Amino acid sequence: MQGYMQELSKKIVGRSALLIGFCLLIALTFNQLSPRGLHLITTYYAVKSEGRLLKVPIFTPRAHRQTPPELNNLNPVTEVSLEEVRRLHAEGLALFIDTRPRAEYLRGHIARAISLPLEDFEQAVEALAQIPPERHIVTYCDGSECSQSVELAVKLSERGFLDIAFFPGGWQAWAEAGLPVLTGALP
Amino acid sequence: MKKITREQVLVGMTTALRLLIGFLFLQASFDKILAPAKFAQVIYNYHVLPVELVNLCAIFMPWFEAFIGIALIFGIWVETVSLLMSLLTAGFTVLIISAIVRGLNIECGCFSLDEQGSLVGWKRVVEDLFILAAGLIIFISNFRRQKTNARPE
Repeated sequence: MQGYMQELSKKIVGRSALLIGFCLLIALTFNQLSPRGLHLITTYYAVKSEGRLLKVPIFTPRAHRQTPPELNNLNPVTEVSLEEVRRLHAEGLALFIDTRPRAEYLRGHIARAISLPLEDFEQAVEALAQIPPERHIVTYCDGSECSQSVELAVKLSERGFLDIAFFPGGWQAWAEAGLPVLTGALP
Repeated sequence: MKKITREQVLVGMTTALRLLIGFLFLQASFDKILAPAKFAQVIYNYHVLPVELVNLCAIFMPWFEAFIGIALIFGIWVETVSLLMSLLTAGFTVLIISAIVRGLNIECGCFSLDEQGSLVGWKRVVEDLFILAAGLIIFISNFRRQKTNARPE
């Protein structure tokens, strides 16, 4: 019985290695030949947020880009502090984009912010074309634990928007500071 | 005579289960092989892999699923493939539960990439547990049969 078990585990380990190796070979070959193939190592934009480096990946197929994206080619995506956000808001200098799910936006959001959940980005591309590229935009999500604000900021920057910032403190910091909020959809 | 019949029924049932799971895995791989970029985004949304490795995972996993499916359908290396498939399903289950616990409202990426309402949730966990059970049944029944055959006459 023990001999059989030993033989079986040897067989399973050997065959697993063979199968995984074979799959890897086929997968890599297919990926190399396919026009939808990806870079083997994910390319990403590195964005600094509250002293941490956030890596926002780019999943565009390899064929769509001649070279891996250079960080410098991207219009810079910067973070803004609560004080700065407060000033931008009070003076009406920026367009605020709420990247949280729609339901959370309806429960409460930064006054005059528009709702654009990250997962709806592709559908919203046409509407975004109405916004002048030089418009100052501030994205935010729930708080410092979420990353949708940064991801959306990078997507906007990729689309040619020139002046993109994200607010790491997000909805939580804004609401705690007692700054102007609204509930429900925009009029 | 009666004993043989019972055994035959069992063999028939595990074969049916093997075919069913095989087709399920093969079918689940199609969308992902055809849209690797979309699948990579789905994997990234789970926030468990280092960003750098997401693409490699999106390139490899669908083919792994496909070959597991093909091997199950044709009954090739059943002992190895059923075990790998069970381990994989157990891993997926843990991933889905972790996503639910972390409050992530993300697409599951389990069977197809476009299906509406295929978000992570307890329904997906239950489905995966059924598939896991099926994998273990296939493994154990195959193991038993092999052991009986291996025993010296």
